Amino acid sequence: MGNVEPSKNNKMLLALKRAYVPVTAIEYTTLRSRKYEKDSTIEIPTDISFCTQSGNRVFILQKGTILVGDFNSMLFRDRVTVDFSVLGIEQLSYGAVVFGNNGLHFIDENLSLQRVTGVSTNSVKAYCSSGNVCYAVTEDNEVLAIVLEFSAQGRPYPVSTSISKAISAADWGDNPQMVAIDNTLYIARAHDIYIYREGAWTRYDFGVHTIRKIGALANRLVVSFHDAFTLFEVPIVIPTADDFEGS
Amino acid sequence: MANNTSRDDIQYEILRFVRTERIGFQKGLIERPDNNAIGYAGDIENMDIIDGVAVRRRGTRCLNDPDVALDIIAMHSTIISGCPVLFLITREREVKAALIEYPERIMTVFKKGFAPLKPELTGENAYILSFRKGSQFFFLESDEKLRIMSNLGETYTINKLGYIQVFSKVVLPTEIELPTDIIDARTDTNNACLGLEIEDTTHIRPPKFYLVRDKSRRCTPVSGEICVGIENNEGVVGPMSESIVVPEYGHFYVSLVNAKCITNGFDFLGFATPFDSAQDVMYVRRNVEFYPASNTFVFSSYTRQDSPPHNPQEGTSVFSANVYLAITTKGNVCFWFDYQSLAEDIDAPSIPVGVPAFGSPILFYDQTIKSIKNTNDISASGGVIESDAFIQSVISPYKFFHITKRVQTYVPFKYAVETDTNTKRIINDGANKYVGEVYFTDIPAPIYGSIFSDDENIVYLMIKDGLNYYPVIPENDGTGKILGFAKARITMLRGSDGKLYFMPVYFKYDFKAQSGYFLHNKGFDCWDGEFIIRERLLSSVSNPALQITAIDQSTCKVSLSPAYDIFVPCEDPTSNDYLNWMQNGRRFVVWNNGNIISRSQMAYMNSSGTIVYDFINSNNGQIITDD
Repeated sequence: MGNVEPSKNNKMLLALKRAYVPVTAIEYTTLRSRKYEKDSTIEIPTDISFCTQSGNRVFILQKGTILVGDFNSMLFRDRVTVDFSVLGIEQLSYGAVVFGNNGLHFIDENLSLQRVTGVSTNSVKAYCSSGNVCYAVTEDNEVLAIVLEFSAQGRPYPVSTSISKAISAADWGDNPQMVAIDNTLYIARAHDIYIYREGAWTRYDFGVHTIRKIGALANRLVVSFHDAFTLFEVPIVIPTADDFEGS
Repeated sequence: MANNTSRDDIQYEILRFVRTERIGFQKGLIERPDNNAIGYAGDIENMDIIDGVAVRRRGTRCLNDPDVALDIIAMHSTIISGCPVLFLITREREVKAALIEYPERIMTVFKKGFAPLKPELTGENAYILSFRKGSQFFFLESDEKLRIMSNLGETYTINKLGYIQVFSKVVLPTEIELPTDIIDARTDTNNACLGLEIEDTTHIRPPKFYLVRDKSRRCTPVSGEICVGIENNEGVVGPMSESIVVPEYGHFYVSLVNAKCITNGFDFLGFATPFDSAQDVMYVRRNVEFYPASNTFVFSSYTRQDSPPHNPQEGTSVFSANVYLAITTKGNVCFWFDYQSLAEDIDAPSIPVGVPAFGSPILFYDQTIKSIKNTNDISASGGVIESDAFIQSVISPYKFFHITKRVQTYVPFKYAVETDTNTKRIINDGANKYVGEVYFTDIPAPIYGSIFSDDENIVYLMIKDGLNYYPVIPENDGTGKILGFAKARITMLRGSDGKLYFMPVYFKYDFKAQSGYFLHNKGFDCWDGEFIIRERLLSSVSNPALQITAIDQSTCKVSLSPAYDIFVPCEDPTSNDYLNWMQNGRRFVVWNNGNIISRSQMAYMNSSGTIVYDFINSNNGQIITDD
């Protein structure tokens, strides 16, 4: 409906396919040649465990190694060697937080690894980032906020603090979901969502509806539900976090 | 009362007029970047009538239930040309989308533009964005691009400043988009689609590559370290392959599939299977012109035949000695003798003495013979067919090979002769097969090499009669009888004058696995190529795929017209390495000593795998229909 009969030319075009000739002739090399430095260290992603992006840099964990690449080329030339098991990577400012089985680490812009000071954890359930703040839910049901602070000499260093003291009794279950939108953190459990904003926690309960996935759309929270007996079969758009306050 | 009602209505309308914001759709369809979707035609669907006033909807909205619940495993939102879009990836690895201004539908994401996203698929499925494999998905983005990458590296890049449009179904490049499609998208429950500019930017590792020596030496000579790298669809060269070091300068094509250079002739024997496979063969007739003035036959040209001519008995006053000889790929000389035809003419006076016994025939060769005369009659008592070489040569360089080994009793074809040397009419009795004897001999490799190194290699079959061979020495007592050539089958016929004539010679070439792609470099690395199946290559129908222009007898290479440079052998036109790379490959670059010196071509091909430059003229102006 709404579409008209294709023209002859268009139909002819559709019969053609883009093709790549597997043979090339080495000729006119004076015109065609260009300098290219062959880099044997280049890796391409083929088996990614974790991936995050910080500006033009892309960090991936591939076969136990953190590879750092370029967003434009998606080629990974640099490696960050770690001597621990990596549980996840998440962006923080211009670097990335590495959740290891021996604590929290931070990869700075020089790709050097430094340990995160403050509250640490050896196991995380979920994590997310809003850019300048990285959030994580630990096995101990503690919610950590990791930020970069600056020393007296102006040197940045990562600091982790707990932001869940007000809701210390909350049990996040095995698989909480997190999303940070602007300055608001949403942590979803089976049936409810906790919202952390400006140092205060609020909670929104969906009752019998089971949350499948949460996300963001234009600075709004999107919630997808499992429950087949409700209207909430597919994502709904919730206007702002303000709607949750007081509930 | 009625007046009050009327007044209320008027007040209501005035109030409605004042409160209603002006909404225009003068901007048409969204086809270019803009930071605000309001005002475009699609915005008409985002209005609700509240208290009689059209307002843009906002607030929490619940989407319609899809027929099948979507198990969403990844979400990401971004702004495409000013329009906030929420991308959803389902457990089935399909990418869906929702718009904040139009949230009632979960839309299928498809690629706009001519080239399909998944060339291995057909129809609209080739344009729908979904991942072939992977269980985790990551979203990476910049101001201009959004990359969706699976944990196995499959990556699709969406242009954030490009095309965006909503339709009721996937709009193929053949279809014209109408504004009504947008309205249809709201009412058509399952077919709402979001068209975007998407490109498959997956990096792939370079496969094994081949250096194919360019025998025409048109390519630039290179030496040193050579390797290849694969470009993705953004033009980024990925990791390089392992290198091949070329110690001395050489001319090469670089191929990612097994290929062979045929610029200087198509080496049939290079691909041939053993001689006696008796199938998939091509016959080439070497035409012999008869010059009455000199009473001479001269080999003049070559013609491809569907099959050798048959059945000498049907021609009147024709006798065929029917001794067939051929060189096998292993350097053997093979011939067979057709009893069937012989029996008919057993009493003919021209039958060479000793042929039926066939005890120990030998082969006799002479490299100097260029033409053959039939100046002498051959009689039962033995005649002589003279040649220039026989007259001028001496016996000393001749070599003899006893033919003793019987390899089969089945003659695959019955070869015969033309009924008339002038009109060259061919009698063909179809697929009849006759029983005969096939004999076989081995020629030692050194001798073989010395014999068959020149252009004209002729080996004579000599018949042993008792203790004598005929004709061993043409100049001696004139009892020799020349029956055939090696590397060929030669037949003789008895003309009306009672003389034996040498007739056109038929070469046999095995064509096992000879279907494949023939590629021609048009210049500047632009290629013409098509798949030619064996039957078409062998056929001598009015429109053969290739014309044979010359045959090098010593190497058995055939020059073809049109000229091709590369041959990629493969049997299945629908599934082979060449076609697989054509469809699913990428451009690749050749790296040599610090420079990228060559970059392969991206072309367009039709459904049969033929590269197309002019899609109208390439098909004689006919509409190409997809299979």
